[in-house]
Amino acid sequence: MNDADYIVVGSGHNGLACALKLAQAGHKVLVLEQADQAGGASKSGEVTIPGFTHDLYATNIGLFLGSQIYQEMKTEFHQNGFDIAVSDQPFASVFPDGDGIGVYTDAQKTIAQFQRHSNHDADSWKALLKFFDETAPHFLPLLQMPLPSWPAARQLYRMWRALGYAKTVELGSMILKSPRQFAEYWFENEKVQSLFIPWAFHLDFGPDVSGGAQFPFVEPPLDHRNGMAIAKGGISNLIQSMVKTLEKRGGQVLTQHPVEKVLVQNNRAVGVQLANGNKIHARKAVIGNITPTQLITKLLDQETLPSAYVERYRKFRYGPGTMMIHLALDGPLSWKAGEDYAKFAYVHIGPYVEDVARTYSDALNGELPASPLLVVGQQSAFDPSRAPEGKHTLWVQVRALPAKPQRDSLHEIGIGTWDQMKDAYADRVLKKLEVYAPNVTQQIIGRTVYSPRDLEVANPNLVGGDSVSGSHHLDQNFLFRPVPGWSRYKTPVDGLFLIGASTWPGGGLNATSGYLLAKQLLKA
Amino acid sequence: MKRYDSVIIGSGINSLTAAAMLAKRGQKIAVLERSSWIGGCIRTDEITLPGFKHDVFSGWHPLFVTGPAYGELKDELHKNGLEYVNTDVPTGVILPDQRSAVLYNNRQKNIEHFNRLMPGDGDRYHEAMKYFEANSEMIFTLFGNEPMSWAAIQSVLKSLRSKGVTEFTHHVGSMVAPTRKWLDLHFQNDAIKALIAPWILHTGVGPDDAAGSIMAQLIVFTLEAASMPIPKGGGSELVKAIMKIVTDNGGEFFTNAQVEQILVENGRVKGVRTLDKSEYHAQFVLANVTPQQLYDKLLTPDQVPAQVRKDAQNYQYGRADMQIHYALDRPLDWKDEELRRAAIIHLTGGMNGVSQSVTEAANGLLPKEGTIVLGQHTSYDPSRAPQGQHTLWIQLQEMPRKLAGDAAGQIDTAGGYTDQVVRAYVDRIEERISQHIPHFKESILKRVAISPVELERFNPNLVGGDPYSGSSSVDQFLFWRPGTGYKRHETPIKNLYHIGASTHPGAGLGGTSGYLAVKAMKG
Repeated sequence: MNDADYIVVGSGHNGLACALKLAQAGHKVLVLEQADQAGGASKSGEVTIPGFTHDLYATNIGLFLGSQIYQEMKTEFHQNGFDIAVSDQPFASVFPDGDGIGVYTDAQKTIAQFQRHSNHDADSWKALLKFFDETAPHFLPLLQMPLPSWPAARQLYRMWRALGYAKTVELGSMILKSPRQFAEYWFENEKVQSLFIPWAFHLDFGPDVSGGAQFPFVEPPLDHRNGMAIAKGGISNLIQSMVKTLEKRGGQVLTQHPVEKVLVQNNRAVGVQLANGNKIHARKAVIGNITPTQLITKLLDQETLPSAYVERYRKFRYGPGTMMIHLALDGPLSWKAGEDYAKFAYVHIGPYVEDVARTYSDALNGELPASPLLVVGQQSAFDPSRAPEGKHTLWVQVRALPAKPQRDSLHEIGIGTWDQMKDAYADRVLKKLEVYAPNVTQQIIGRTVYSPRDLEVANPNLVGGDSVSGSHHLDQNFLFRPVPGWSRYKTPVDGLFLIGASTWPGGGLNATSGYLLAKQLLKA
Repeated sequence: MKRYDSVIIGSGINSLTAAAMLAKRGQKIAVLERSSWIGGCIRTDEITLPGFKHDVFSGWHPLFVTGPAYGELKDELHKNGLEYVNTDVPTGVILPDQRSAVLYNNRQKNIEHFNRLMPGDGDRYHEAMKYFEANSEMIFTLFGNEPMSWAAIQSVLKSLRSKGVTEFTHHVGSMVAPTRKWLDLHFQNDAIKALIAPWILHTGVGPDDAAGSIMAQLIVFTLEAASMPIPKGGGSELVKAIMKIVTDNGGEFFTNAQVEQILVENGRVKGVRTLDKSEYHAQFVLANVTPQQLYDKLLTPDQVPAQVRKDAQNYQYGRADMQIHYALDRPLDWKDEELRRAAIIHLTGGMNGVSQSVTEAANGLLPKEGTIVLGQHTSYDPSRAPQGQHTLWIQLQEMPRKLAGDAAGQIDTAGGYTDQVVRAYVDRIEERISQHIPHFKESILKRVAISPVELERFNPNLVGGDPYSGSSSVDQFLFWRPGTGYKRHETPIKNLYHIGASTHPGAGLGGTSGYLAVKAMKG
């Protein structure tokens, strides 16, 4: 029987960050991955035509570049094959009348975009940046702290002292707003408002859900300042650089090693049992980079857990699902909004706030949306290594779809399994895209569609195709993530911990939960 | 120029509560109301036919009867002739497929009723209510006090101490969940979910909004405990009884008296001036208005700090409301007989239906199948209509404030809320009621509809027809209502207090903001 100090179940980037930090301190770390490739939702591959590299799910690595693990280990990551490609045209939105609005890293260019729609909104954009600059240094560090914790309390107290009562409370109100309230608070033009709404959708916030303003408030200023970053040559290069760095420190990642059970003795996790029956002993702890749902439904015997705990985990709620459409293109898209739009890292197509609201409500009510929100990623525009010369990849994320549709809001697609529906639905998506980029159909030379179901099959953390492993609504965010009272990565079983997107600070390539847990374990 | 101890701008429930409490303290009070009636959103009038007394706007008094203001005033109110009547069925629901459910003012009956609809749902309901009750102290304290007060902070600390951090965060986490999550976790039967889901509309939010969970629990708990008290003879009976407390103590009421300016001297309030240039001087002024009216109109820019003015300008409004009043020659003959005694019945497509209509309204559309709130005052207060005949109070809570279209694609809304649009929409509502009450249209003696636009015309606090004077989502609640600059209903002007639905604890016929302002006043 094999053994290790720490066993990490799941090789998402948080699992790897945790393993790296533990290995750095001299511990023997083993990462077990059920899939045939490490990375969880950070994975790239040639899934359409050879020579075209697609980021299968996650792509934007902005948060990762701000993470502590990256700050500590970047030299090694870069030595081991990780490189960054940055777009100075981070994101845009396009509209049916052939109009668009985009955010550049260039301040003047961006202001000109806002001015084209409304002088008031151009001033508001400047005011928003100013408000962000005043407040961000005080609240952004909170996103990398355990909650609840003394450092976080100290940070809040310092914020109170620095900003004063009124501004602190104003910041609180800003973050608690719904995306629509946030957009209407700052901007008057409907196209400008629509530019901010999709960012909330990335974390399962429809336009009218309170608390959804957080991401639309934070991401646009950060993108404007830093540009949008991806891993050159595909996000697997980032993962591989982490794996190699880990291996150099004596750690090991075993793919195709699905864990069947966490072994518990006297309420202490002592190891895991693999699907093939082999048992691996963990001297110090078992760390699950998984959802709470898998923990209670599969890896542990429910009877061994306190019922109140199981009950709370049972209540953990997932957001609507995501569909990924990967296209290999013969040439760039000709956007109606202008040639320049082929260079934006993300183009969001709602198009308007109202459309996104309807899509979200449809998804919650179990209907296939008539006009889903599209996030169109154009990675090869600023990372040419991803496609043969002159050709392009296209990454289309379709938000938000019901995990189990009951009806089609257009009464066109027969309801069946996602396998039966996904191609028809992808056709609807491409028809929508065609309105904005009329040449898309003729440019397609390869297409691969992943339905919400496919997402979950490939990665059981994406329950129902929820790409962020659990809704981020207020009751499941901050110190309530994944469930209130268990936000600091512990479980009722001693020596068993939970990290990943289901835990604070949630979805996105932030590499925080794994890092924070490792620090906590090393201190103990 | 006239001199008073306190002048109150506006005569809604919070003004009346404050007036009565201050009058009892011996203050000389003037209440100035721009409209022709006293009461704000409380108004009983024969707006359809003689003999039919309709509560034109708000119509239900459970919040008032369970609130602190009533506790302080009830003896005198009843001495002054106020009488409450009540029913044992506070609410019911009817779904498009004719399924129905009701809530009784009796826990045991509710458990049995729910268990009959779906075995286990009644037991889970009981568990949920027990949990709410055991943990309700903090909630009731927060809603009955200033959020930044010792009482509120102590109740939070007490809850934290008794539960420990883990249980406390769990408790708070479950409070901020949306209504949908709470309902999905406790009930399997759609009719029971539909019975509760539309009640969240009465708090101004929707089923997917944060903190709906705690509001839904609070409402169901209150409905079961207090049912649906209404003043015998109409809501205005409460107004009359409060007015008598004030006038008995030397106070005065002025209608058609619109305040155009709050007078300030050296940062301290001096009184008010009305449109006809009369001045009413006083040591204290309480303004029952929206933040925009207070800080943009009634005060001059130099009197208001920039942050406060900005907060006021950015104060956001919620969905609009529309009211329809009917005089009927007979009661609504619901097939489910329990519904005949119900105070408020929702005709709704259930949780998904409410969610869809809320989204349509937020998008500016007339909902295709919006929730219909049917109030049956005369089912337990027959004094409000001629014998054998009835009033019907209908509220449509999912109306767009800025009308942009019709979700059903049938009504041309290009001209806004015109008579034609209102008539067409009311027809849609009547069609749906007729699916359940076959002779409904024949029973109508007269109908009067009040559109969102007319609501605001009647009462400028209802901006765009928002009956709650401001969105009630969490970013505008507790510490954030109405703005971030001032606590405890105080304002930048000394002795000027801000009350009404735009201030903590928000909308509802409760009188709590008036009560809290008086408690905060010194002198």
